[in-house]
Amino acid sequence: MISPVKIWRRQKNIRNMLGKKGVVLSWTIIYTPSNDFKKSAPYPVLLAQLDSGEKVVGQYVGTLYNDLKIGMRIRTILRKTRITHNEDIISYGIKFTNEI
Amino acid sequence: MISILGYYSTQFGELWERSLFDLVKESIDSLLKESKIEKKEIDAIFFSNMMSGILENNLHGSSKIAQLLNTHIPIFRSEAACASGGMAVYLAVQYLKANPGKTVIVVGAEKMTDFSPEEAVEGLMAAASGEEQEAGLTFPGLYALLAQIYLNSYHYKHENIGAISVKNHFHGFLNEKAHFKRKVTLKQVLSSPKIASPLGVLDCSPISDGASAIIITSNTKKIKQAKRTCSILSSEIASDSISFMERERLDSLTSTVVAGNKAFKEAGIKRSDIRVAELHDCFSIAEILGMEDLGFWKKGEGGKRALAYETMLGNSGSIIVNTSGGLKAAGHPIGATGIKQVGEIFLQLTHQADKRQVHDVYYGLAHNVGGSGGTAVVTILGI
Amino acid sequence: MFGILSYGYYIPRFRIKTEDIASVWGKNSTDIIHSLAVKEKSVAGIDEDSLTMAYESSSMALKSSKVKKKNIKTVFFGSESPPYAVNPASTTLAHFLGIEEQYLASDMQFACKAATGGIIIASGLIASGFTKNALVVASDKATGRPHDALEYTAASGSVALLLGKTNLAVRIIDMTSYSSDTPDFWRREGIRYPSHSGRFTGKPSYFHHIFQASTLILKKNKMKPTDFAYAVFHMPNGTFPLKVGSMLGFTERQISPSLVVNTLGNSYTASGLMGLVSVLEIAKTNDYIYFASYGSGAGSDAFILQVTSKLQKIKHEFKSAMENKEYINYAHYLRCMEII
Repeated sequence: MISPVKIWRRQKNIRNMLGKKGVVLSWTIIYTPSNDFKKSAPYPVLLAQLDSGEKVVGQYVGTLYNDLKIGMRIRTILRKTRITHNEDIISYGIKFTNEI
Repeated sequence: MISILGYYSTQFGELWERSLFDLVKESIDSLLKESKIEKKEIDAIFFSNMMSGILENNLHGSSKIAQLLNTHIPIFRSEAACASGGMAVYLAVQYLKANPGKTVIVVGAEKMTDFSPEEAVEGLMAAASGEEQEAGLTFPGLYALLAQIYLNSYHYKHENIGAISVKNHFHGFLNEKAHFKRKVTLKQVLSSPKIASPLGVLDCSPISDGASAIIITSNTKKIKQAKRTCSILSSEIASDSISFMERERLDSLTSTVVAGNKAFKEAGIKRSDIRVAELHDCFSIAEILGMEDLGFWKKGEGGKRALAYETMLGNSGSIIVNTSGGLKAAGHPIGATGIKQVGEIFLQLTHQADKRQVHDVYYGLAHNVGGSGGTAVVTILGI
Repeated sequence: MFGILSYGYYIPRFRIKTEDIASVWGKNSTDIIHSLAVKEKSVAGIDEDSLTMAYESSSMALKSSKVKKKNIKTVFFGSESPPYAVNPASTTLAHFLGIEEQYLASDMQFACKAATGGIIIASGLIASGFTKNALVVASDKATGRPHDALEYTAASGSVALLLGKTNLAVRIIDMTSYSSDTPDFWRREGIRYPSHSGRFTGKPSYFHHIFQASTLILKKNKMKPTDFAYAVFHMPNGTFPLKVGSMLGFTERQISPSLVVNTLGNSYTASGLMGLVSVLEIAKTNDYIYFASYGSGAGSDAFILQVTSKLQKIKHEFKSAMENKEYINYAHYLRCMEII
């Protein structure tokens, strides 16, 4: 279980990265994840560089999952990161979708 | 002068009957016996292990070893993810430089198969940053991202990295202690089930149990008396950001570049002097990046050279890499790997490598990387 | 004056067709489509919940308005599928939107009218000067029990309204609420799927409360159905709104532009509001719009709205949002809803 305090601290950074656009530097599709991510598998993960300069990793949940390309444009959105149905605090974080 | 007097590895693989410290005890006991050195001659022990805290809630391994050996000597634990073993060797060397005339054991061990693959995958991700974990990444995923960048930047295909696995399995076939003693074809590698695209099962080192140990000494009398010995010419370590996206380059592991340059400078030899090397092939792409980052191959030509099997036993290449089978075929019990690598070079330099023996070897190199490149240790041995 | 400054909406892109659900249970989809008038419904992804959807709709509403965040001292979150049984989503929503410190956050539940009740409450807070503006968000990722009739209609979506006294795009001329204790649809604590009392959910429940609330407000304001350009009602399916509208004297022509339920399903607290958004996107200045929500348990909130010239400046592309879809099969649907 991740500490709720850790989630709380992280949430402040997450807010600053929402609604930003950027470009894909690399991508992969994960087939064998760890426990908290099992229910979403298989899923694409991107390394993207935001137009504001930061590099961010996150899952991709847009429509182009069969056609991922380095150089593709994306934007950041808010989603649940870990899919668990238990007593823990929910972990929200940054994921990517198509630019528009 | 700092020299290695002996080396022992347990079998690597799924070792159901042996616990983590059974493996540690076996390696220390066998090592002392084979090297004909007595327990009382050992002045300190350096212990390498990554995950016993996370997986088994067992820390303070140094004290556990003290109990097994019934001793009061100083025992130190090091952890740098997959570079824990290399770091233990480095620290042992520093200790011996500061304490002349002493003899130490460096032992590394890992017990991973008691747990489900998901638990092991999750435990391994402790070596990555929080952001990388929250993104649902796994270690295969991290190296897959590196692989995509490499393949895309230098216009290669999966086969250009998959060939590394073919080579290492060919070597592992010749190593009795390897987890996988079977050859694989390039076709099998390319069609193996995907773990994190483009990497498939056969691009990835396995989850293994195992332990390895070496004796290192700065005692000149012992070195003179030893039947088979080689010296550690340099041991250098470098660090880098844990989050791979925070690093200067995404097609190179700077920690390897820095550690490698320091190691060659300290040892006073050239890249071309190295005839045999153990490189950190946690994933096929990692060995290629390692060859380029250590300066054996030019940046970007690795894919071509890998597909030509230039570093395979029996080929005319100037350097043969991963005769142990690498991490891929020999197995990757995290804490043991860095020490096994040094041990394999010791076997090569002292002509004890059996069917894996490379000829005319005077210098060898071991390259151990932690996580996705947050730590790199380069050790150069000579005879 | 009181009313809406801007609005936002979010429709997840997955859709499942009625026929793909019906075929799993060996039912005749033509009959079902005919009786429910729902061809397909929207489904939120496995990593979406009522909070993430509320963030999307609220972001849209805030983007199309120049209101300063510090003036939004009220954030209401209405849902039947909140992320937690105990822990407000309104504070998490406010955090991600950048609304902080001096604000009142409240999570509301009243089945499908959780958010519209919030509109009425917000009007008092704005009139008293407690806050200049209020953000009221409706959001649901509604689950129906497999093999139950609700499975065809329970859908996902969110609508957000930014309310205030000035710069109104839509004036809320009057509001009323009609309530009673009625056991038509409920879900006990700790129980996963809701229950309902079959045909009792019709006449004594949906129809009675909407009819009573509407009759009261129209009488009080001396208005007739013909005064309105559009009429929007809560949409548990595609036939009930037409029927209750007809009972009140509204025509199919006034009601059908809001019947998004045909292709989106019933997103519970966001259902009626989604229909309202659909109508706002085509309404003209000075149009009167009639809007009545319904929440099981039961109650109806009724509103008389009038469009101002400012609405033209803040319209979005709701129609293309409705068309932005990806069909999924039943197994994928069960994964999205975490039923498997």
